[in-house]
Amino acid sequence: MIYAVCGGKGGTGKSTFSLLLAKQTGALLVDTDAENPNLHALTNQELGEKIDDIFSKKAVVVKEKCKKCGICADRCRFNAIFWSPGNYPIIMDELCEGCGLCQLVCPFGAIKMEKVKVGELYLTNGNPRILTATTDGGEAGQVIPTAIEKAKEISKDFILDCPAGIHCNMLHQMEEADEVYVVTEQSPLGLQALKETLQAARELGKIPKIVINKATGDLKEFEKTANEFGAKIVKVIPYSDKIAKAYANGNILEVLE
Amino acid sequence: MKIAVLSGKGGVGKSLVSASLFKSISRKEKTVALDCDADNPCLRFWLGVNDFDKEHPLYISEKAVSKEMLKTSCPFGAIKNGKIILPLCHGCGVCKEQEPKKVEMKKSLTGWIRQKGNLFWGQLRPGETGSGKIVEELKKMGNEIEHNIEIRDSPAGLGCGTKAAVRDVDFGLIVVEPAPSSLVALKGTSKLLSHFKVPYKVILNKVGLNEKIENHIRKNYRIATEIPYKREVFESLQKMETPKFLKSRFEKIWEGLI
Repeated sequence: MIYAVCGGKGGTGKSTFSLLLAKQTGALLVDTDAENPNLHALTNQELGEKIDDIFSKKAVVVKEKCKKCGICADRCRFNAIFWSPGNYPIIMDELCEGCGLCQLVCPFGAIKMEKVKVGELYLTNGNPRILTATTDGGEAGQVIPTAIEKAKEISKDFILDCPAGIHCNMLHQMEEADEVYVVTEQSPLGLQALKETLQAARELGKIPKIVINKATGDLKEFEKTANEFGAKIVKVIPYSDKIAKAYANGNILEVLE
Repeated sequence: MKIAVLSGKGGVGKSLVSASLFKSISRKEKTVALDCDADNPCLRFWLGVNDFDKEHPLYISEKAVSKEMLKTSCPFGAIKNGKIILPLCHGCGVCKEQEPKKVEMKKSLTGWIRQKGNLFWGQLRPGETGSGKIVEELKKMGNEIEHNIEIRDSPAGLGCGTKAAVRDVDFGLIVVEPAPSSLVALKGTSKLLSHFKVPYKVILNKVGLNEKIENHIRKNYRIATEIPYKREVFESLQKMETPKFLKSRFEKIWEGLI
């Protein structure tokens, strides 16, 4: 069983809910917020043991075969190849997404795709077990698919704690999941973010379960939105100074359980 | 002068700080605010803005479209069972190259730039990429209005949107809450600003939740101001207004900056 926990707005409690879900289901937790992984910190754990490197593909020019025609630069949709007449093309690593189009279009077979390390995978031994993806920056492209494949090797049940937002890195995880949770907060921003995330889910044919955090009262507007998308609110966590303090002290689970 | 408000972690108070700063400075100087978080632009909520004067659609990206079953293997995993899953398409063109008669590359609506008075914000469409490009568009639109001060509310995290928002500013304000996750993020965020040679100070928000972390931050970073943890702040957000008790605090930050 693959779960995804997501939400349009940051700081609504996705990671906290992921922890709760892990405790309830015994599933492996996967922290895919590779630029800023924080799940381990929330449970006062260290990152754990490094279990693998994460590789992406990057295009490299094979100068012996290159005829400096510039077709690759012209066709690259990410503007990752710089070329001027009479010169070899220069592939800009930070912009190269490793799609391989340049290799396909080169008439002389002068581009090869090379494996480049873009991040690392760590696994804790604690409770819950946490698989963390880290990256040094740049496109997170291959980080998430690699983390998901590794999670599948380790456990058939895992929870993807997605980074906030509605960009395609999050969508990839939502698409993989059997069960999707959207976590939001009771505020005008939280409502707006909920609508956008439900819309994104709809485009992927998913109907998430909704969790509302920092609840302070009447949830009419949220219920209305949920109904419009055929979704249900499955958990409401009230706003609480005690929870805020526990979160800041790394012992949120004790208070929530 | 360009000021960026940023944080490695979401939900710590960037937009609250940006909104409060914008209100304080606007009283004295011609100020423009750019909400650079196109995934989740929430600056306008703190300013009580419910609509917009102008909207510009942005067609920055392209997506592959097909009515037929495809054999290509998509490098981004956007083709499953022969069908393109549009929200996952990165527009690389590989499937078009492999099966040119079956695939068409179509310009995709990436999102919008919206404007209300001196406030501009980007709104990404779900599933699109291009946050960095939206920020560059926002900067261009902001420059069309005469102003002395520009406040940029950055996206959370250290992705391309944040980099685009902070790389050319004069000063940075890093917002942090006293919690373990936020501390982890603070290191990365300060490193990013140092990389771009942007001087910065820290705004310590939600003070009162963890004294140990608060003291650590005070010891290791220059603090612009501290904001106490108060339920009242969340209640102000629900009412779409900046908390009144912060007004004088932000006037002092501004005086400290000039």
